[in-house]
Order: sequence, then C-alpha cells, then structure tokens
Amino acid sequence: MTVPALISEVDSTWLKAQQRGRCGPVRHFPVHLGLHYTGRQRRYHARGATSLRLTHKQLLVSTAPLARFGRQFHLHAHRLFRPAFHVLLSDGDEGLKRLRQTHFPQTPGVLDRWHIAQAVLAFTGPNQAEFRRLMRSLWAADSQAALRALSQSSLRLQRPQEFHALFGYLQANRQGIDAWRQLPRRLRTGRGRTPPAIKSGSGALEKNIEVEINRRFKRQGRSWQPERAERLLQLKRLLAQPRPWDRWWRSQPRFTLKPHPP
Amino acid sequence: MEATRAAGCQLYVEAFRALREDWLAWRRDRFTAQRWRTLQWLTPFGVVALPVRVVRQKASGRYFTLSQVLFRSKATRLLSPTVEQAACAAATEQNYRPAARTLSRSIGTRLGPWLVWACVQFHGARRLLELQKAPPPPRPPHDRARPDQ
Repeated sequence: MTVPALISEVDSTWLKAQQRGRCGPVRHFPVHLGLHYTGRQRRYHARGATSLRLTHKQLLVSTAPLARFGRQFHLHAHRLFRPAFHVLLSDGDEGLKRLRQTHFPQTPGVLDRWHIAQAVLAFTGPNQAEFRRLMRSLWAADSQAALRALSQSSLRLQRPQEFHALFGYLQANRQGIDAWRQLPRRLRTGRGRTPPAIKSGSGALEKNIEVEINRRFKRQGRSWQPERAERLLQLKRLLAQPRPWDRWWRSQPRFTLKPHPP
Repeated sequence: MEATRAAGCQLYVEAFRALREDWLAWRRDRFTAQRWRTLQWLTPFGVVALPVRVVRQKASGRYFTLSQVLFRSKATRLLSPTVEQAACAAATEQNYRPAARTLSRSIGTRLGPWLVWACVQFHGARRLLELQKAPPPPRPPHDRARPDQ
C-alpha cells in the first residue's frame, strides 16, 4: 500500500519471570512492541471531541530477542506499506537505537518528548522555572542549545549525579532530539480540526502497552515463562482481528503438535 | 432451553456418527472397523457421549480411535473444538480461573482452569509455528544492496 507517511513506534516493557522455589533476586524478561500507522483521524465528528484513531494500525508484539524482533518489525513495515516518508519514534534505550541503526538506517529516529521531559524532571526536581528553561530548547528541537542551557544550570553543583545523567542522556540522543526538525512541516502540523499525522511522543504505543500487556500480564502475583507468554500474546493479537481469528479456527492445521507443548 | 440443548446434543451425536461412517467408507481398504466406544465431550450444549469407532490399520495391525486421526488440531481430549475456541478467547481477556468459571457457566458443567490453560498453550504454540513456517515476505530492496549479505 502506497502511503504518504508511515510512523513506526517501538518500545519494550518487562515481565516478571516465573521462578519456582526462588531464592535469588526476582528476574524479568523483556517484551518488545512495535506499532506502524499512517496517520491519525478524528474518531467522532462532534464539535469538541478530541478522540483520535490511528489509520492502518499494525501492532507487533513479541518476547523474541530484540535482533529477531527488529527484523520482523522491519519486514512487517516493508510487506504492508510503501511510504513516501518514514519516521521511527522511540525512547532513548540503547537496544532500540541499535535496532534503528541496523534495520532502519535511512529512517529518521525521533526521541519521544515525554521521556525527555522525565529525564529533565529527574534533574530539576520541583524547580519549575528551571524545568521550563531547559525544556524550551528541547521543545524547539535544538540539542545544542539544550546542552548549553544545561551547562549554565544553577542546579549543576547541587545535583552533580543527576546533572551527569541528564547530560549523558542528551548527548547520546542528540540525533533523536534534532530529528524533529527534519520532518516535513505538513506532517507535524495539523490543519484546522485535522490532527497532524506525526506527534512528538510515542503515546500511541504506550497506551498499547497498557492495554495489550499490563492489563493481562502485570496484575498482582503474575509471573510468566517467556515462551508461554509469547503464545498467549500471539493468541491475543489474533483475537483482536475478527476475520483472521475466524479464519484461523476454520483452517486445518498444517503441522502436528504435541497436545501439551512444554 | 432444555429441549434446545437436548436437540443440540442429539445433532452432535448424529453428525459425528455420520462423519465417522463416511470416513471409514472411504478408507475401507486400509482400515477395518472394530467396535464402538463413547467419548464424553464438553460441547456448548453440555456433555455429549460421542460415538467413537475403534479401527485397526490393516498394514500395521495397530488399533486407534478415529478421534486421533480427525482431531489432531485439538488441545484436549475432553473439550470440543468450539469450546476450545471459546476457552482461548476467554483466557486472553482475563486469567485462566475466571475464564474457566465463565465457560462453566455457559456450558452448564464444571470446567477446570487447567483445561483452559492447555487450550491457550496448545493453540498459541500452533499459531507461533504457523507464523514461523509461513513463507517469508520478499526482502527490502536496500537489504539486497548490502555488500555483506
């Protein structure tokens, strides 16, 4: 499908691993989520309604290692869409950055602004004036100015550890901060009541993490084995698509399987 | 309601018997019919005593029931495919225990959470296998252009 823009968001979350008779620390394993969509449209046409729907939404969830997940995510996008412009949104995680470099080398990677704000908030604490001063250049997608503003911060000597953490974060994610300005203006600004196709945050994926993972997998006392969680995840994804779900139950299995797989 | 359930059960039994007779009629050169047995199955109409035919393979002399041949895609011996589908749908929404409780209420017979668990694991593994064995999509153009591949 040829589309003017394709927005991909990728993120990871952690599930508690099942350990029978545990004596050491609690272990966790990652679940990776990837979301492709081509824009946003208003869900309701009533005046004042703010609810939006993602167009051509495709979600991929897996407990597979990040390298394998990245490959699947890339192939998924390639198989379904022929975009004129492609952008990838993620937080500043090292693994996700590597995923972008390996599988989406030509795609600009935008850093999610909510995560930037959280990193700045960890440094400034309750000092709102300082928070606003630092965020001003970040909202303008100017990492150089942000680093300069940070170096002039009055909190630098009071909170050296937090300062170094934020400095490292901004330094490591400069490309992601500046990438916002590389996006075509028509994609990042809405017209009238039409919402923009691209937003500066990965909120769409964060909500999907909440709905797909947290509500089922992270309730009180729940722990999982990765392969069992993966099976349930795939069934959940299938159930979310009514036609493939019906087709799946009508189809004859192509492979034989043990009645109780481990 | 009871009459509908009874009619549904009867329909299940007759359809199953006809299916087995037909299957055997087509393979009479390879299998011989031995005897009828019954299998307690949980269906959306309640528990049904399904007629199961024990057959013997002429070539190897081995005995087996037709369920082993016809229902390889099933996770459990007890549940019908329709109930297994309902179990998977219920268990993806909540935990296994409430899912089993919901199903038990709709079927009218007590159903253990382990059966629901078995359904989810079996069909989830089947789905994963299908996804893994599916033919891969064509490679992206810039992948082919890489010198190291």
